[in-house]
Parts: sequence; structure tokens; C-alpha cells
Amino acid sequence: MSIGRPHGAPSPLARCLCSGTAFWALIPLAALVVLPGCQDSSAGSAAAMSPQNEPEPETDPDPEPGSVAPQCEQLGTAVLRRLTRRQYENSVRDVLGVDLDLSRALPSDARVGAFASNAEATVTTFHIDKYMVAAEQVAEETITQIDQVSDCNPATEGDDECARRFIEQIGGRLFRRPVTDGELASLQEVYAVGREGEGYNGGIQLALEAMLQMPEFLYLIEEGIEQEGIEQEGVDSEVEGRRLLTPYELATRLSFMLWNTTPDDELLDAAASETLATPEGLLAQAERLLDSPRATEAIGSFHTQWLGLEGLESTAKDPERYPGFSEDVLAGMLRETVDFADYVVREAGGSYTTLMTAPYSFVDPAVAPIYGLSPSVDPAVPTVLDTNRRGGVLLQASVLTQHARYNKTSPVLRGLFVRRNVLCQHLGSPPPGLDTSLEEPEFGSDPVTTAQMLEAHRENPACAVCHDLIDPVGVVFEHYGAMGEYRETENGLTIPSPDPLVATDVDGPIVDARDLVERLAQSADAHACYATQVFRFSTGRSETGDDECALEHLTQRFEQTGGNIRDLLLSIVMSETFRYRHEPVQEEA
Amino acid sequence: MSPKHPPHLRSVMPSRRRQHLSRRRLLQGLGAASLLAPFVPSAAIRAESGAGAGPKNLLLVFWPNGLERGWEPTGPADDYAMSVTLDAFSPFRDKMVLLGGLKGGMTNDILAHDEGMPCMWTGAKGNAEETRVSNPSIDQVVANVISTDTPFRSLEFGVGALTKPADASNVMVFTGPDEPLLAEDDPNRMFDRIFGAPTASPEELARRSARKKSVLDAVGGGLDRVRGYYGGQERAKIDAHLEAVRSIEERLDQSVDLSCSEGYQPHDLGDEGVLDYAMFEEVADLQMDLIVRSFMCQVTRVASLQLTFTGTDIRIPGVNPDFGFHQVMHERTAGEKRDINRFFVGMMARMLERLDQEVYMDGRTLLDDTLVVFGTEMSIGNHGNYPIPFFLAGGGGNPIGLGRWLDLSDQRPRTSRLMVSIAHAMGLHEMQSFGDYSDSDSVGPLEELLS
Repeated sequence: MSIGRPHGAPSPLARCLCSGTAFWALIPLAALVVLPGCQDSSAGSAAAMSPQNEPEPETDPDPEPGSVAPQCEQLGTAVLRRLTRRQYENSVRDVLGVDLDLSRALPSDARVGAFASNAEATVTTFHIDKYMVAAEQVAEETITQIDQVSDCNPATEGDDECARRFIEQIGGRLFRRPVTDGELASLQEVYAVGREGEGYNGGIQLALEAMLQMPEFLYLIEEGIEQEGIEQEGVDSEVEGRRLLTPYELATRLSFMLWNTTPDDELLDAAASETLATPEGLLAQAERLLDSPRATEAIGSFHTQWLGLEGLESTAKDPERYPGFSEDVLAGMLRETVDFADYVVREAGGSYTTLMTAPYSFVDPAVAPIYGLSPSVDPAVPTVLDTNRRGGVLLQASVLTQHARYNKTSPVLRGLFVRRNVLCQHLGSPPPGLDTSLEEPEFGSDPVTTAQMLEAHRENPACAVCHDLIDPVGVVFEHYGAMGEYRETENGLTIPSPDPLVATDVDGPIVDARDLVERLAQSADAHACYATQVFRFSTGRSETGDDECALEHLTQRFEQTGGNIRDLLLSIVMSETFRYRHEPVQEEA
Repeated sequence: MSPKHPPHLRSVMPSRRRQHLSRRRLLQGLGAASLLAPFVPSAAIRAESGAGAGPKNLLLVFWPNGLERGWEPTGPADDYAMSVTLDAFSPFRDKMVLLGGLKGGMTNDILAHDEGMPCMWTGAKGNAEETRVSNPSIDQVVANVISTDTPFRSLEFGVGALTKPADASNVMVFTGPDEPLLAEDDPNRMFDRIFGAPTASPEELARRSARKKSVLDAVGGGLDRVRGYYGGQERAKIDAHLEAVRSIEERLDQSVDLSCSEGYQPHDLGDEGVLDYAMFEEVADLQMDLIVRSFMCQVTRVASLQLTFTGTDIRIPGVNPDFGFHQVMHERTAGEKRDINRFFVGMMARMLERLDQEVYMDGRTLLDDTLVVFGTEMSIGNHGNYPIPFFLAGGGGNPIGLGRWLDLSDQRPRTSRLMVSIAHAMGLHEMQSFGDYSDSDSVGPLEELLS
């Protein structure tokens, strides 16, 4: 077992071209907004964050706007992504006005790391069958309300003319760019087959089915524009594999990243007029998307996946121990975390420290009793919490409930969660020949605390090598029960005080969980981890060695801005990784 | 498992020997048979191709989280005493082989949950960091040889198998390196996928087929266009998509005997029903009925049934209502562990019961024509690599000798050898090794089995 540096953390070995930070320079360093009525604990924390042994951030003052000067000699290879279920559902909702739950009809999503991404899952006949059935369902529903998506009257304007317009209009939205002549011809053939026997609507319906199964819809297709003349000092031939995304492809990446859906008309217009091809235009659109309430879904999606909250809604808890438990409570917990993250990112100035330590949350009436609050709380506004016990996302009921068991806590799950998800530490597998089952306490014997049961891990050196790192971090949260409720004791037994934090960049004695989250909020490793997680979410892939330079720029910038999350998202959009598709130069097969 | 380097599409499919069963012959078989039993086309046709030549169908069944300590039968191989855990298998003991002492494909004695399933049918070398699968699973290898003349090369059934996004903890069938084939949890959707519309007229069916083909043409055209934008691994994804489209196009050309499925359309349980563990047995029964129909109607010769996934914490009413399965296996009493394992063994016995109920004219049953392999991803719920329980059933005793309890703990052979044995039983006699292992524990069929 080894704990290494966080994946993708800046490395002094990363080879960077120091020719400028052209695109980033456009993003103003956002001022931290202090929440009215709430003390924002992030104030002043940026100074406390002192990365060790890291090079000073690049501060190239005034690069030429619009310059496409490469920053990194190497970029990670872009992956071909297939729409996730939600992206598919959202797209047909936005383009066709068809709001269907297709979660069972569509093939399930694959994951890359913590995040749902179909970048690595191969399509099989299973998928083709699923896409076929889903497309039939969507097309059938669309035809019942065809007037909403087509204003062409076949009786007066002719079937074929209306079909052509339908294919061009709807295809243009579904493919996220104008339909090509080849595509039009091919879809007209499909229309003709459908029209035979079933008339105009039958033809339209079949053409729509085809569009929904075509790669131009199902994948984020990126042809890119070949780059000639990127001649920069120190750039070797590897830059040859770099293609600038077309404005439409950029619009698509942007929209799926920030809205988790297909581009809207305004974004497509910006692509058509090529304003999106300019740094100012791209930044303006990214800010528009991020400032829209529609960004809530993507921000919520990132944070729930990062925090491992997928599946929270179907978690079960012991009804004897938790008589108030219901699905409403779980839904309330999830909503709280999503609303909180959204507020922090888009309204409260967006600092990582705020996310980790804010003394307020958006408490749902169903969840209020867990926090010792009256159910009369207003879930739409921030509620100030007891700062001795709460603060930040890790001490929210959702996270504490998810990383616990049916009727008791699990310091192992919580400790692993902090090390893996928050610090991006890599914990290896147990050594060979180890029985990992803990001794079951005899029924009727003297009660012991959960923390005491874990002592078996320490007695066995083979277990201790990992669990000395995992368990103490989890034990810090022992004052929070399996549904996140604060408790002074565990069944009348004293809860042990935390051990000092080890194997992090913020080691030292800690008092309680509040202390721990404050400490994490100042950890350079935790900041770098968060930036890396956002990078994975945005690119749909895990970082590779070739991403080191790009990630170094991102994390430096993230630190420089005091952990500003909004700025981090915009920086990713403006980065080369985002604006280009890099693929190693291939020999023609 | 997070395959970072999807390999180039490798040709894992041997050249297709097309022995197209003519529809006329199929119908002849049906005509003769339908006088005697509801559905016996396979038996009638098989009478021509030589009954008893070995199993014709292969079915893999997965159950999660291993068994509890003390699950093994006791006594001599040919006259053993069934254990309490396996009691539900008793009626089929003459048609089964119970295997003990097999070693899994994990590199450590302890595995993480994300290693067991991708390893168990592929012979892959499991690794907690990242399990990479470098070849198709054994069912797909067999399917590529024996199931090429049926509309579906294979069918993957699940019960609560994909209640979360697909990852290494809930996939087990692979068509190629790191290319999982996902199970379908909804019996109603599965029926539609296999049989489409059983009541449609031939004209209606032809029209539907033409519509689907025109759509697939457009899809294939699109894939051809975008293929050129990519190279390497990304192009391989497009190629796999194209290959799947072509395979569906071929299926549309093949005739399915729809009458064979009449009366078996499962009722729509709704999304909630399929996911409701209170309905677990009902969903499993419907899926098992469909497996039987699929073999009887010859829509495929290879299938798998995935009961949930590794590490599942399901609570089944009346079995383990208070503690999730995973938690029970880790920290509850031996009795509680046995209860839930007996439940899963009971589900497996029901699969055998269904197969054995389909009786051909010569008295043989569908079970005699089908090799069923039951397997789990770990040993005794504590993530152990040894011994991993596997059970075999059916196949008519040729070439796998039945009615035995085979304790192989003196040799501890790796499960890859069981996979090789399965291949031999299904007629792939040349196979000597399977998957990533080539040491002496892992090579060659299990001689004890093939006798």
C-alpha cells in the first residue's frame, strides 16, 4: 500500500511552455463575496494556503488577446464521448419538447473514476437494441405533438418540402450543427421508407428515429480543424496532433459541461457567427451559461458524484433506530447538498473554502430535525447552523448518511472517502493472505463503540498499515450517527477523541470534525484534488501524464484565486485541453 | 477496472460458418412436435443432428458474495451428503457436479469487490488497482462457435444487476478486451428485444424489418462518415459500433419462430417493479422463463443470468429484512449468512427445475441439452480468493460426468481450468488455456470433470 501524491497534482517535472496565459488572462480574479448575514469563513484563508516546493505561479502580464499560443507542449488525448442517459433525456426534452423518463430504456452509463461517462464503454448489440427502442419511444411521442416542433403544413407546402425542413431544423439541433448534404440525403431516404404505407407523419417519425440513433447525435463528434503554423519556440512535433475544435464542437462541449444538455439557440448562433471562436466570445458564453439557473444541474451532478452520493436516494436505514426515516428525508438531504453547492459556486463567490466550511446550508424541512432545527425552516434561503457541529459540505447529512451503514456509522467508509475523494490519495489493496473480516462481537456481551471494534485493525500489523491511515480520519466523524445526527455519546459510551492527522499536507493534532474540515479547506492537496476532479468531470476521462502541464496551470490558477470554483470552471473552458482535441498522430490504417 | 486503453477492435469472432436452418425445416419440426407437447422444436430438429452428442446450450449463472463457511457437502465424491446450504439442489443431484477447492483469478488472496466479476468468466488476472480483461468471457468464446446460426449470439439476463451505472462490480460478460456486455434487468423489455411482436402478420413483420433496416443504413452511413475523424482507440469505438449495427442487420434477416413465444410475454412490472427487491423472486422467475423460451425457440444457444452484483447490500423481505446482504456476510451470525445463501441456492434450483420441465419426445429434457454453470466471485463473503464455489448442471453427462461432489482442494486448480473444461464440453476441444494465466495450476481442462 502506498499513498502517493494526488493524481495529477502539479509536478516540477511537468514540461510547460511559458509563453503565456493568453486565455486565462481574460478572466478577472473574482472577488470573494461575503454572504450577507453569514460570516464567510473563507476570508483570509487564501493566504493561509501555502503550497510547499511549488514553483511560483506564472504571471505573464499581458498576452495578446485572441492568441492561440500553446501553453503546454503536451495535452492528454481527447476521448470520444457518448451521451449519458441524462444528456440524452435532456437533449430530447430541449429539442423536441418531449419530457420522458428514459432511464430504463437507455443503456446504463459507464463510469470513468467517480463520474458517469461513456467515454470508455464499447457499444454492443445490447446498446443498439436499447437505442432503437428509446428512439421509437421518443419519435412516437414527438409525432403526437408535431405542431410544436414543425410549422410546415404538408397540405399546402408539400410532404417532401416539409420533410426536408424538418430534417434540417430538428437535425440541426440534435446534431448540434447544420445538417450536411450527405446527412440530408440519407435521412430523406429513411423518410421515404417510412412514408410508404404510413404517410407523411410515418416518414417524419422514422427519420427522427434514425437521427436519434445516428452517431452525430449519440456522440460528441469532434472533427476539429487541422492546425498549421503553430510554430512556437520549443514546440516539438507532438503539437501536430492538435486540432482546434470548430465553434459548433466547442458549443457542444461547453453546453454539456455546464448545462448537461445540448446547446441552446443562442449558443448555436454564437457558433454560427464564429464569435465563439474568439476568446472573448467563448468566455462570454461560458459566463452566460454558468450564471443561468440551468447550470444547477451540472454543478449538482459534479458535486454529488464527487461526494459519492449516487444511490443516496435508495439507501435504507434501520427503521427501529431511525423512525423518522423516509425517502423524503433522503431526497431532502440530496437537494440540500445540490442547492448548497450551486449557491457556493454561482452566488457566494465560489471558494473551495466556503464549500468546505460555510456555516450555513439550505436545510430541507424533512432534514431539519437531524440538525436539531425546527421543520419550519425555509429551504430556499441559507439557514445558519450551529458552528460547533456543522460547517461545509462534509458535515452535511447527505455525506454522513451515505458513508455509513444501515444502523451504524462506518469510520472505514468515511475515512476512505476523505482520503480518496477529497485528497485524491490512492490506497492500494490489502496484502495477500489477510482475513479482512472483523471479529463479530458476541451477542449479549458488553457493548463496545464502533471505534473500539476497529482496534482489531491496529492489533494486526498487516491491517494497520492501511487502517492506521483510514480509520483515524473516519473516527473523527464519530460524533455523527448513521443519518448524520450529532451525538454526544454512542449508546451511552464515550466517543474517543481524534488522533492527530497524518499522511496529508496539513498534519497535526485535531480537535474535532469541524477542525478537520477547516484543515482540509487549507490543504493544497485537497485544492489540487478538487481541481483534478473537476477536470475529470469536464473531460469525461482520467488524467494521464500528458495532462500534467495543463493540470499544473489549473491548480496554480485555482490557488492564485483563493480556490475560486467559478474561476476554475471558466479556466477549464479557456484551457487548451478544452479548446483543442488532441490525438497522437496516427499512421493511416 | 477502468480500461484506459481500449484496444483496437480485435477479431474475436471466428469466420462464421453459416449453417442456416431453413424456416421450412424449423416448421416441420414444429408441426410434428406440437401434437405432443407445447413446444418441442429443438428436440425434433436435434433428432436429425444426433442427440446425446453433448450439450447444445450453455447457460452461466452468477450469484454474489460467495457462500458462508461450511457450505461444502461431506462424504465421498459419489455418495456425498448434501449440506444444509445446498439443500435445494437435492432433487437435481444426479444431474449436477458440485466443485470445491477452486482458486480464483485474483492476484491477492483477498480481492476488492471490483476484481471478482470481471475475472470469473474471463480468466483475467484481477488486481485491486485496475482489473484489465484481455479476452472475451468463456460464454462469448463458445457463442462465437455454437451460436452463429441463431438470431442472437447470446442473451444476457439480469435481476437487479444494473441498478447502478455499469462498472467493474456489475459486469461479467465480455465480448472482447475490456468490452463488457450488460445484462438486461427488465423481463418485459427482454421479451420485446427477443421476440418483438409475436402476434404481427408476416407482412407487418416484413414492413417493420424494412423500416429498421433503413434506419440502420443511415446509422451505418453516419458512422462511416465520422470514422475518418478519428484514429486509434477512438476509431475502435466507432468500429465496434459499426460491427454491432451490422450484427443487428444480420439478425433482421434471420427468422425467429414467434409462435414459440406465445403466452410468455411477461407483464410490464414498471420501472419500480423491476427495481423492487420485494419482487426479486417474481422478476427472477420471469427471466428464467425467458431463458427457457430462448433455448426452446432457438433464438440463441448461449445465455447468462446475473443475480445482482458483487457487494450488493440488498435486503430481501422474508430472508434478510434487517441487514443488507453484504453486511450480513461481513458481520452477522452464521445462521443469517446461511439463510441468504440458501435463498440464492433456491433461485438456482428453480432455474434447473424449469429446464428439466421441458421434456422432449425421447424423454430427455432441456436440462440434458444445456450445460449450466453456477459461479460466484469470491469464497466466503470475506473477499477470499479460495475456495470459490462453482456448480455445474445438465449436459446429459457427456462429457462432464454428473452426480458428484468434487473436492479439488488438494490441487487448488485455478478457475481458468474450469473455463477450459467448459469449452471442451461445448465442443471446443483445442483450447488448453484461457485468460491471463499460463502456470501449471491454470492450464488444461479439469481431468476429473471430463470423465
